[in-house]
Amino acid sequence: MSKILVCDDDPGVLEVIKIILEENNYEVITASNGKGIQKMIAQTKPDMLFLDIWMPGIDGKEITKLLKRDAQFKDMPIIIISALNDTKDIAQEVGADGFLSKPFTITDLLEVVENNLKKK
Amino acid sequence: LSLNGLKPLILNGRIAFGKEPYLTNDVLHDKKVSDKLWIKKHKIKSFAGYPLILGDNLTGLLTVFSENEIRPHTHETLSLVADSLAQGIGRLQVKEALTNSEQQYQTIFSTLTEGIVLQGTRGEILAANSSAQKILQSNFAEMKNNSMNRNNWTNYIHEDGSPFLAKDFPFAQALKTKEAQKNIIIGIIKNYQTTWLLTNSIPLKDSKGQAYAVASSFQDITQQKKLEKQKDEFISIASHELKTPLTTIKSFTEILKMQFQKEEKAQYYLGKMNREIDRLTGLVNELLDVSKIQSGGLTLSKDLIEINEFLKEFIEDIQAAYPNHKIIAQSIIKQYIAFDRHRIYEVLTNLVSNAIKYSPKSDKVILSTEERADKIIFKVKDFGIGITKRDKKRIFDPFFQAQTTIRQSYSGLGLGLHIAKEIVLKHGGEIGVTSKKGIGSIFRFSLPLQTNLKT
Repeated sequence: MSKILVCDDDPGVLEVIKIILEENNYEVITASNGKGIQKMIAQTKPDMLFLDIWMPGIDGKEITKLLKRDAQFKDMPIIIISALNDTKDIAQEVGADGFLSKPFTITDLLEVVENNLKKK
Repeated sequence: LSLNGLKPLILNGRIAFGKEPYLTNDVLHDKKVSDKLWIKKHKIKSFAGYPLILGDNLTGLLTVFSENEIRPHTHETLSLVADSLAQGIGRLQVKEALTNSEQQYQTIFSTLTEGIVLQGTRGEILAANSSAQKILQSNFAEMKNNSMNRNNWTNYIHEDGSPFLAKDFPFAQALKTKEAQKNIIIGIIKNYQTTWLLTNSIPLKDSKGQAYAVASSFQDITQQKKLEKQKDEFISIASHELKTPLTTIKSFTEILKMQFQKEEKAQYYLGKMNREIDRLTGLVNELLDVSKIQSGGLTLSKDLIEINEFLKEFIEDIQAAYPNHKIIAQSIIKQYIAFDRHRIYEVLTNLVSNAIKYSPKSDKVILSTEERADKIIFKVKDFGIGITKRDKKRIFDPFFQAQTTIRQSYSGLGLGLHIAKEIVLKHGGEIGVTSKKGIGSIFRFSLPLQTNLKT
C-alpha cells in the first residue's frame, strides 16, 4: 500500500483528501502545517507528498525547492495543491512533479496520485 | 471742431458698407450727407472717408472734414495713410491676441497638476512647469543635464518590472517614430521606492515634417498603483479563502454521490449541488481573472495541442453540464497549434454557456472551425435572442450585460466575454460577433497558426 503525506493548513481539505485516498486504499498521513515537514518525511518515508503552497508562516515553494535539492528526498513525487489560479505555473517554477487546483474532483485527485506513483 | 452732434454718420455707414474711399467737395449738396445744420454751422466744404480694411474685415474708419477743398492728390495720400493705419491696427491686434494667448497658456501651464516638459531633439529641456519639477524631482535635474539617457537607466522599469531602456522612452520613441506616445507607464526607482508615472509624449513637427521638439506630460500614479495592488491582493486572498471551503464542499458532495449510488433522487440533488458549486467556483475565478487582466498580470502557459482532440474533450464536458442543449461539432479540423489549454477552454466555455444562456427557446449550439492561411477560426453559433447593434459595441466591455425588452435578467457578473477577449488578444488572435436580433449570434475568435510555445 502506497503511503501519502498530505500537508495543508485547512482541516476540511485535509480531511476530505484523507477520506478519498483511504477509500481508494492508500495509507494517508496528515500534517496541518509545514513546520518540521522534513523531519516528518524522514521519519515516515512517504511515497508521495501533497503540499499546500500557501500556508501561514511557511513558504511551500521554498520547502519544495529544498526537498528537490536533497538527494534523500528528490525522487519522492511532490504535488502542489493550491487555490491560486496559476497553480500549474507555480508547480513548474519550483520543480514539483504535479499540481492539483482547488477545488478539484475526486477523479482529478486520484489521477494525479496514480500518474505520479506510476512514474516513480 | 466740435464733434458734438456729428451726425453725417449715414455717410460713414455707407463708406463702411461699401468698403470704398469716398470724397466730396460739396458736402452741403451731397445727398448722402444727412446733417446739413452741423455742416453749415462749421462751414464745412468737403468730406473724405476711408475704410480701414484688414484682410476681409473692416476695423475702422478714417474720416476727414475740411473747410477747404480736398484735392485728388491729398485724397490719394489720405487713402495710403488709411491703409498704413489699418495695417498698424492689425499688428497691434495680433500682438494683443498673442499676449493674451501667451498669458492664458502660461497660466494653464503653471497651474496644471500634470507635469509638462518640452524637450529639444537632444533631450535638453526647453520649458517645464513647476508640477514637472515636483513630480520628477531629482530626475528633473538629470533631464536638465541631459544625463537621463546615459546614467542610471536601470532605475527605470516597466510595469512588469523589466528595465525601461533609454531608447524606449516615450521621448525617444516620439522623436524616432514622429508619432504621439500615449499612456506609457514608467516606474522610477529611487531609494528602494518606486514612483509610477503615466506619460504622454507628442512630437512637434516643423513645416517639413521634421520633429524639432517633444512635449511630454507626466502624471504621478503611484498612489493609484498602490490602491490597485491592494485591491488585487484583496481579491487574490478573498478568492483563495472562498475556494478553500468550496473544495471541501465539492469533495464531500462527490463522496456522498458515490455513497448513494443507487438512490436516484439523491443522485439528482447532489448532481445539482455539484453544478452550483462549479458555478460558484467559476464566479470566483472570473473575479480573480479580471483583477489579473486589469493589473496586466494575465500570463499564458502554452502547449502544443491537437484541436480536434481538444474540442472533443471540451464538447463532452460542456454537454454534461448542459444536458438540455445539443452541442453540435461541425467541420472540426485536425491540426496542432500552440495555445494555453486552460485559458482557451475557458474562452470556449464562456462562449458556449453564453450561447445557451441567451437562447432559451432553442436547443442547439453549433461549434465549428475554419483554417485560414495564418490562423484558425473557432465559431460558436446559436439560435437565440441575438444582440442589438448598440449592445454589440459594448459586449466585450467588463461588467456589461445585455438587457432584454422583457427585462429578463441573466445571471453572471458580466465578465465572461471581457475575459475571453483578453485571453484571445493575449494569444495574438481576434474575437468578434455577428448577430441578428431574434435570429441568433455567431461568436468567432481566431488563434494564430503557430507551433512556437514561446511567442
